[in-house]
Amino acid sequence: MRKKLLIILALLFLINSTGCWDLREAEQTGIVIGAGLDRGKDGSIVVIAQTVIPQMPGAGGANVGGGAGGHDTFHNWYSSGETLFDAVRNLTQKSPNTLFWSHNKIFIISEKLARESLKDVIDFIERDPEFKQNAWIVIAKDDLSEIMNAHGNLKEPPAQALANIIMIRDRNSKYAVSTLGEFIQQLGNPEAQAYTAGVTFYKGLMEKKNTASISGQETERSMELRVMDTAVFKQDKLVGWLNQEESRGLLWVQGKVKEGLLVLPMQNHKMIFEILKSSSKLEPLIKDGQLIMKVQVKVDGNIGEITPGTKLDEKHIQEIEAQIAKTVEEQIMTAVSRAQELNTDFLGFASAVHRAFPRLWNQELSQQWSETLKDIEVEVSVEGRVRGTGLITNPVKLK
Amino acid sequence: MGWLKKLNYLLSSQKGHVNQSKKKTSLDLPNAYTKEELINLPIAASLQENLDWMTKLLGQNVDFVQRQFPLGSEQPLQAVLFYMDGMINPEILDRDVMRPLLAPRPKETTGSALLKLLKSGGLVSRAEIDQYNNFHDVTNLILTGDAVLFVEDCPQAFIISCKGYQMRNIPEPVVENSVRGPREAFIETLSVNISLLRKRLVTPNLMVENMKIGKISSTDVCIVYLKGIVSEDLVKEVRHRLNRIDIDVILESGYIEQLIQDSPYSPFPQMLVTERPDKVVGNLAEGRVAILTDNTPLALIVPGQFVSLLQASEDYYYKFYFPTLLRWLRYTAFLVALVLPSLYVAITNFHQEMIPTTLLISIAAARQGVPFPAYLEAMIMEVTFETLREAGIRLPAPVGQAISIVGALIIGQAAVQANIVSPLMVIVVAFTGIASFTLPQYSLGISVRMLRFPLMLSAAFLGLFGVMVGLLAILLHLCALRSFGVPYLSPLAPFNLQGLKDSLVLAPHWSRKIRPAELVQENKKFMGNNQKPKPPK
Repeated sequence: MRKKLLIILALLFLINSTGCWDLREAEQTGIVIGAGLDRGKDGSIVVIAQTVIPQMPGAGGANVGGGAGGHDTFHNWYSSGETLFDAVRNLTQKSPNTLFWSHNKIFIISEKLARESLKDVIDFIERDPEFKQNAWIVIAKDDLSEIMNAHGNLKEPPAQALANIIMIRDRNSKYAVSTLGEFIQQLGNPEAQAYTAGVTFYKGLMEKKNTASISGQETERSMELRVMDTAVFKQDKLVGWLNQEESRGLLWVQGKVKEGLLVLPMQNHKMIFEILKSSSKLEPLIKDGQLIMKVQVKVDGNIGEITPGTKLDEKHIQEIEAQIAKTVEEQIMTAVSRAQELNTDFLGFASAVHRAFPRLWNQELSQQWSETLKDIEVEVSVEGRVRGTGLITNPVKLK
Repeated sequence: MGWLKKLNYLLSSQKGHVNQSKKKTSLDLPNAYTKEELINLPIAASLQENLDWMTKLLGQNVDFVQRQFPLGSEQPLQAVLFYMDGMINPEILDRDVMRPLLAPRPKETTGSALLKLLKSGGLVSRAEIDQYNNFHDVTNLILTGDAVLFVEDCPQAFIISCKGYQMRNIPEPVVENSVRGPREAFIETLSVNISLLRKRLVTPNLMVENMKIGKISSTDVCIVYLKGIVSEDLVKEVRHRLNRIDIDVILESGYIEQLIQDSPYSPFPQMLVTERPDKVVGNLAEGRVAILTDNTPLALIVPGQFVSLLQASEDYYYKFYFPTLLRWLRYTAFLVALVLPSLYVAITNFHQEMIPTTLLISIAAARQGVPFPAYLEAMIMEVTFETLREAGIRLPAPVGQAISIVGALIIGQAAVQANIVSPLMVIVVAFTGIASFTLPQYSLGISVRMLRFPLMLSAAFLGLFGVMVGLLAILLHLCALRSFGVPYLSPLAPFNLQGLKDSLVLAPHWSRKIRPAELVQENKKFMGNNQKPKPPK
């Protein structure tokens, strides 16, 4: 009995002696929700870690914009170093709390750094277990530190606001964005090039300070964040931007348009088509020794809005469907011509060709792909379908 | 309070003998008498000798009454009636015993004729009258509320049952309350408890075996089972374990529980304890054995498996959907009560990536300024909660409310405002406490509440790994545990598909046709075929 007790005691001490070496109290943790990566003037890597300032709900008058009197909801920690890890570790010289990166929602990379190369940052964020692969990665079109400091989108920290904006990206389908995991995969894939969304900010309508405005006096407007356009990469370098049309084209090709609107240029009236579903198929063909890329897209949706007075009949709907096909085709073609112009295969044509003609790809096409891409013929066929017209068929006839 | 009274009699009768030792009597036996000595002491033919013995054994007691009278009008025989005041019903004694004994009878006028009639059972109109011939039986019965009649020249004692001690009315269940179902609960009187069972099972197969346990208290303990359903081995085992008991006093069934369970060190209850007769009957019909103890308003049911500890009798009275959900709620509550505080400690201290960002932020916000690490905070709160609970039980009812107010205000609000604990921890502890009370077996709730402390410690040192190690240890223990030879986790492990109908889910009555396989070997069928109701065609 005594022996047993001793053994149990010894085991208990064994456990206790390991201690709680990795214990980390929640309030002593700097919860990083956004990371900004930039290239400093001296060539170092600059990291901006955005941490939340935990606040009791309802404590203090948390003013919109975090102006005077209101509590800040976030804090940015700056640091620089030779590489990303170096810079991140240097943060501990400043931050009193251990920074915790697993809740990081978004990586914002400055355009400058992205245009130079991502090789100084990409290894660490892939290697370190604290970074999560489902964080978004975006490119800052404007000054990174200003974006990281932008107040205005509600009272959330900018990183959280950006992540939330990206969460509802399908509602507009006007930019293509990648998670860290997808992005790293694209960077490593020889048959595709990386792309991800850009982020910028603009002077919003919201007043910066929550003060009563004196009429006639220009009040300072707060800066608001906006996710727009798509950055496309060639290898590890950013080479250009797709505008909204081109981004939509990219999304069509990838079959990633889930919702969003199509503004159809009808002859006599305005018409908005609401996309409900889309699918795409890439089918490379060889015709007369020429590689032809066939892109087939199917679009389903509803009539979302139409100028009053227009008559909706069978014939008109057929017209609309033709117009949908035409518009989508145009959007795809702009993306294709942009890809050819920048000579970067963000559309993922190469992998489709590889899959369709593996032998040909291995023998010759892979070596001269950039040549082939430049003047590949792309055939787009779009099947647009109007599934419904909403609650009414014909719009009201205004007197 | 029946038991206390009885115990008092026993103690005072002993004391009486100690005092008597100063008086020198002709009968030189030791003054505290053992059972064997009394058994070997026969009733004498001489009334005076018997009278001396009775006085010697019980005469010092204030509630010991003796009434001497002549039996018969011609050639009367002297007779003495003994009883303990307060334990008999005086009305019955007067009407059914004294009056027939004293009333002149036309035919039998002599004492010896009356004695003959008495021996044949014709004189006294009480239903229960017996003849005994040793002092052990006599004292035993007189102390349980019977009257004893000695007659001159008769080496036998007549025991006339006229028990009439105070007992409680049948109350409503207090611990195992229910919305639907009978509102009867056991009381302290064994015979009443057995009658509550008999009422529900009108069959000669309901067996009630009696044995007396406790050298001093000589408490009646009954083994109750349904012949033809129960496995013979189980009954034998119960009998054997009860016979083994050699103890002075049995105050409550808890004594017996501890003396007959399989793993005395296990923190888990290995038998069901219930105050509801309907629950006992349900379990008897499933092939279990009930042990009823006198002076205990609770029945023990063996074997008790883990899943049966989470069954409430009310489950069977509702349509099966709801009880099934309730079962899952209880399983969840069991887990919550066991691991919630340790999970909280482990996750907030070691695995912050596991919780949603917003929750982590609010935890961090809630913990701003709390001086203690999370596990210490959890310990403090848990200990506080247990203190409150204990105080709530022990406090006299009028003061009880004060505790809940003080507890709610001080622990719930002031401690949070004073930044000693975080509001989230209060929620965790409160939820844990409430969850532990949803378990139908109070004793299971106790073991769960106990076990969460070591789990919290291991969570504080090893994080989730520690919680898993702790849970595994508990699981291993549960797998190894047996209750009267039945695996504790059956029918889950060893697995039995039919058994799942009354454990993971509660199948409708018409589909549960088989009694628990781990209990019943023969007569397995519960009900006939085609019991599923159908509308007429």
